[in-house]
Amino acid sequence: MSAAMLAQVTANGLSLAGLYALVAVGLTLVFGVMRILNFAHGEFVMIGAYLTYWLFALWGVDPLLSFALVLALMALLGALVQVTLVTRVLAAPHLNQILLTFGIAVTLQNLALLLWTGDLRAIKVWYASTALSVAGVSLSLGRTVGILIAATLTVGLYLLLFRTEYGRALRAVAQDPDAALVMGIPIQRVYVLAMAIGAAYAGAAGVVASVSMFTYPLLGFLFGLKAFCVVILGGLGSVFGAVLASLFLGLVESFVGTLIPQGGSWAEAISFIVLLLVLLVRPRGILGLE
Amino acid sequence: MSAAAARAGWTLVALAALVAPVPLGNYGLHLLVLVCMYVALSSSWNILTLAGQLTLGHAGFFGVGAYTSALLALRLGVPFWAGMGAGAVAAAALAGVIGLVCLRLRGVYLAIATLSLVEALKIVVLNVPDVTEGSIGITLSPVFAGARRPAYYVMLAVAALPVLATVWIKRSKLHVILGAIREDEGAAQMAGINTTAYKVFAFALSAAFAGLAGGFYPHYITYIVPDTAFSIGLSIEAQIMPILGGLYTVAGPVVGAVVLTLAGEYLRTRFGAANLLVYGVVMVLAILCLPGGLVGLARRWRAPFRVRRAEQPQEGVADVR
Amino acid sequence: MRELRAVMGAALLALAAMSWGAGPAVAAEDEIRIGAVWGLTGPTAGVSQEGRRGMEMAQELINRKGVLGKKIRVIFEDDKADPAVGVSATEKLITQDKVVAFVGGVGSTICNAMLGAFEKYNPRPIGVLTGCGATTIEQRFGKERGYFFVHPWEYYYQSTMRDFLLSLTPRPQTVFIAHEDRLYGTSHAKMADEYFKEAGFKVVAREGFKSGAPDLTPLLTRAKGMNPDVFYWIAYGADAILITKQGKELGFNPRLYASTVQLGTQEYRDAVGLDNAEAFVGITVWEPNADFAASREWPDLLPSTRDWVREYTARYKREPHYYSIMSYVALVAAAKGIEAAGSLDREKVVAAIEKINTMSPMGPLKFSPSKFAVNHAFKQMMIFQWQKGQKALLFPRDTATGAVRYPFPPWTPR
Repeated sequence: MSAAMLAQVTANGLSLAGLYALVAVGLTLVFGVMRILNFAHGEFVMIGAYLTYWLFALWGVDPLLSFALVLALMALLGALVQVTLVTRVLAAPHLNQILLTFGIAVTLQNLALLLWTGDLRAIKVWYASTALSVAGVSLSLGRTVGILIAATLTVGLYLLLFRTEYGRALRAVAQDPDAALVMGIPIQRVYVLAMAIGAAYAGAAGVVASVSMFTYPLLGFLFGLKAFCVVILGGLGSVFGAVLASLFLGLVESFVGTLIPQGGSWAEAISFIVLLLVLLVRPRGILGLE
Repeated sequence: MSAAAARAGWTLVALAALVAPVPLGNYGLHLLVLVCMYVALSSSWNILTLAGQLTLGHAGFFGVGAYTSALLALRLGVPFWAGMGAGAVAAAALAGVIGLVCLRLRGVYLAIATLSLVEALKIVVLNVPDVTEGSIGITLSPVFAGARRPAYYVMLAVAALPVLATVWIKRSKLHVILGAIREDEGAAQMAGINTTAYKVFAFALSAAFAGLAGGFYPHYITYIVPDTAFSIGLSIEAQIMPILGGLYTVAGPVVGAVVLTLAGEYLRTRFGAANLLVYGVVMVLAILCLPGGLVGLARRWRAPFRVRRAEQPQEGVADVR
Repeated sequence: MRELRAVMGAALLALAAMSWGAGPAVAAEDEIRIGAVWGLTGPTAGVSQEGRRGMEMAQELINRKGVLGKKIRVIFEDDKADPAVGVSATEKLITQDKVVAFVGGVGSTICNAMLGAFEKYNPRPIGVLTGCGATTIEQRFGKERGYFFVHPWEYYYQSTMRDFLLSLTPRPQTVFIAHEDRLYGTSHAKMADEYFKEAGFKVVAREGFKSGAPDLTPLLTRAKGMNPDVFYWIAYGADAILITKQGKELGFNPRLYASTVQLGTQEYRDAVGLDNAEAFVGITVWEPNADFAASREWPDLLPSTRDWVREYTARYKREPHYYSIMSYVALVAAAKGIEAAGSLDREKVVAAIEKINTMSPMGPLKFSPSKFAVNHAFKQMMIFQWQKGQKALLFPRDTATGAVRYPFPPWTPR
C-alpha cells in the first residue's frame, strides 16, 4: 500500500471516529451519572438531524448558525424526557429502565415516520460534500468540521466536569449518589443536567449527520448499536474511554473495509468481536467505572 | 390459593390451550402459533434472569436453532422434529460457550455483549454463503403441508417445556441456588456454590428452548434469511414480555407473551401506520404504571387492603444489576 | 400461586381476541375487497408509502364507475417488514376479510413468506404482486397461473445494464460491482457479475457492504485504488446518497457511475443536489418522463404517462415513484380482470387478467411468460442519466430522449 493510500485510509478512519465519538460521548455521560443506558439516544440524534433539516428547509437557516439552537432545543428535550419519564424509574431495576428508554425510542421513531414520512432528507450547503485536499489526502469538509466540533465539545465537557461547580456535582453523583445527597447536592437537578447535556451531544451528532449523510426516521437505529458498542468498549461512564474506543473502531473499520475483500460486509462483525475480546480481558471496558 | 386450586387452575389453562384451536381458522391459529413461539422465547429468557443474567441475545439462540434445522433439512433432508432437536443442541452448545466466555460480565455489560454477539453471528452467517446460503436465504416446503392446527400443537409443546422447566426449578433446590447467585454472586461462591457450573447450566437450558422454537420457525414460515433469524426485535420482545408479565414468576412470561403478541396484532389491524407509535406509548406507560408487571397487578388487585404493596415480597420486580 | 389469576385473565383475553380473530367477515356484498400488504412501519416504510399512494389513487378512480356495480375496497395491512407478521396479515385477509385478490407489496423476503402461506389454499388467492423481484421467488412460485408478477426480475435489470455498457464508446473494460449485502443487492450483483463477464467485461471486484452504514469511504477508497472504468452499485436510497457525496469528497472519478432504480428518486435528487447528481446513470422499469400513449380500451384509468403523472403530482404534490405506478397499474389490472370476468370466480378472473393487452402509463400492459414464471408484465427496462436536474432516457434507443454524457465529467473542476 502506498503512503498516500495509508494516509487516506487513516483520514477516513479518523473522520468516522469523530462521528462515533460525537454520538457516544453523550450516551456514556448519562450512564456515568445516572447508571441508565439510554436506548433512545440514537433517536435523539435523529430528532437533532430533523431539527437541523427543517430549520434549513423552511427558513433557510444554515446549519452552522442553527447549530447552537439545535443543541439548546435538544437539551430542552432531554430535560423534558428526564423530568417526565426517566426520573420515575431511577430506583427501578436496569431492565425496566432499558425498556422505558426503548419504548421512548419506538415512540420517537414512529412519530417521526408519521410526521415527516419515510423519505430520506439531506441538507444541501456548499460544504456538505466538498473536500479539503491536504497533501493528496481528501478530507470531507462537513465531517472535518464535525470532528472539530466534537473535539471542541469534548474539551468543553472536560472543562465543565473538572473546572466548574456543576461538574464537581456531576462527578460526585456519578461516584456515589448517596454521599452526594448527604453533601447537599441537588441530585435530581444534576440528573436533569446530565440528560440535557447528553441529548445536546446527540443533537450535535444529528447536525453533522444531516449535513454529511442524510436523515430519516431510522437514522438513530443506524447509530444505536454501534454507539453502545463504543461506550461499552471504552468503559461505561468514561468520556475519555468513549473517545479512545471511537478512534479504535473508526480506524479498524476503515482499514478492514478498505484493505480486505468483502471488508465492508465484515467490518462490523470485526468491531463486535473486538468488543467481546476486550471484555474478556477487561470486563468493565478499557476505562470503565468499577 | 391452595396448591390444589393452583393445580386445578393450571389444568384449566392447559385444557384451554388444547381445545383453543378447535373453533379457529388459519388466521387465529397462526396468531396462536406466534403466541406460543413468544411464550417459548420469553419463558426461556426468564430462566436466565432467575440466575441474575441480563442478556439481550436471545435471538442468537433462536437463530442458531433456525439455521441448524433449516440447513439439515436443506442438505440432508432431515425432518423438522429432528432438526428442532439438533437446533436445541446447537443453541445449548453455543450458550455453554457464551456462558463460559461471558462469565465475568455483569449487568448491562453482559446485555450489550450478548447483543453484539448476535450481530456478529448474523454477519458471519451472511458472509459464508457456501455453508449457510448467505443473504439469499433458505427455502423449505411448509411443514404439515401448511396445515396450521398440527403446527400449533407442536409449538404448544415447545412453549410448555420452558414453563415446566421453570416450575421444576422453582420447586427444586436450584431455585435457592440461582437466587443466591442473583442476589450476591460473591457470597454464593463463598458458600461453596460452583457458580460457574450453575450459570453455564442456566445459559444452556435457556438457549435449548429458544433453539427448539427456532428449529421450527423456518419449516413453518418456509423461508429464512439471516435478518429474520437473528433479529434484534426478537431479543427485545423476549425481554419485554416477561417484564410486562412479571419477572421471576412462572406465569409472568406466559401472560406477557400472550398479551403483547395479541395486543401487537390488534394495534396493527386497527391503527395502520401508527400502530408502532401506539405500541411504544403503551410500553412506556406499562413500565411507569406496572413496575411489577401484570402478575404484580393481579396480586395488588387481589389484596388491595390486607397486604400493602411495599410490605409484599416484590417477586415480580426485576433486580438484575 | 396468585399469579394464576393473571394467567386466567390472559387466557380470557386471548379467547376474546380469538373471537375477534375467528369472527366471520362482516357481510358486505356491495364491495369487492382487495388485500394490500405493505411495510407501513419499519425499514420499508418510505417505499411502502409511495406504493400506497398509487393504490389509493387507483382505488378512487376505479370507484368513480365501480366494478360490476360495486365499489372496490383496498384493505391495507402493515407487515412491519417481518415475514411472520406478513403471514399474519395474509391469513387475516384471506380468512377474515375474504379478499378477492392481493395487490401490491414490497420486499422479496415478505413475498416469499406470503406466497408460502398461500400454498395450502385450494384454490390459491390471486396475486398481482409488485414486491417480488428475486429470481428465487420466480423459480419457486412462477408456475402458478394466478400470480401476476409486476416487478421486473433481476436478469431484466442486469441484461439491460450489460447491453448499455456494450453500447458505450469507448467501450469500458473494467467494472467494480458493489452491493448491499442482503438479499436484494447480493442476488442482483451475482447476476450482474455473470452477465458482465459473459459480455467480456473484466469485473475487478464484487464487494458487499452494509446498507445504511454511516460511512462508505472504505468501499470507495478501495474502488478508487483499483481504478475501474465503471463503478456499478446495487443498494438502497440511503446508500446512493452517501456514495454520491463521499465519491465526490474522495475525488473518485470512474468513467461511469451507474446504479439501479434507487438513483432516480426525487428524494435522491433533493438530497444530493442537481449538480452532484449530474451524469449518474441508473436503470429502472419506468420514468415519469417516459412517453406512453393512453390505453385505447380504458383511457379514463390508463391515460398517457404525461396525463397520469400530472394527475398524480396534483394530488400528492410530489413526483411519482416507480412503486407508485407499479401498484397503480397492478390494481387497475386486477379491477379490469374482475370486470371482464363478470364475476368473482377465480378461474374466470385469472383468465381475464391473462387476456389484458393494452397500453398503460407504465408501458404495454400484458402478462407473458418470463424465464420461469407464467405471468409477468413489464420486461422492458430503461437506462436514464441525470442531466441538468432532469432524467434523460438513454436506452433502449427507440425510446431515448437524450444522448449519453460519457465519460463521467470529473468532480473537479466542474
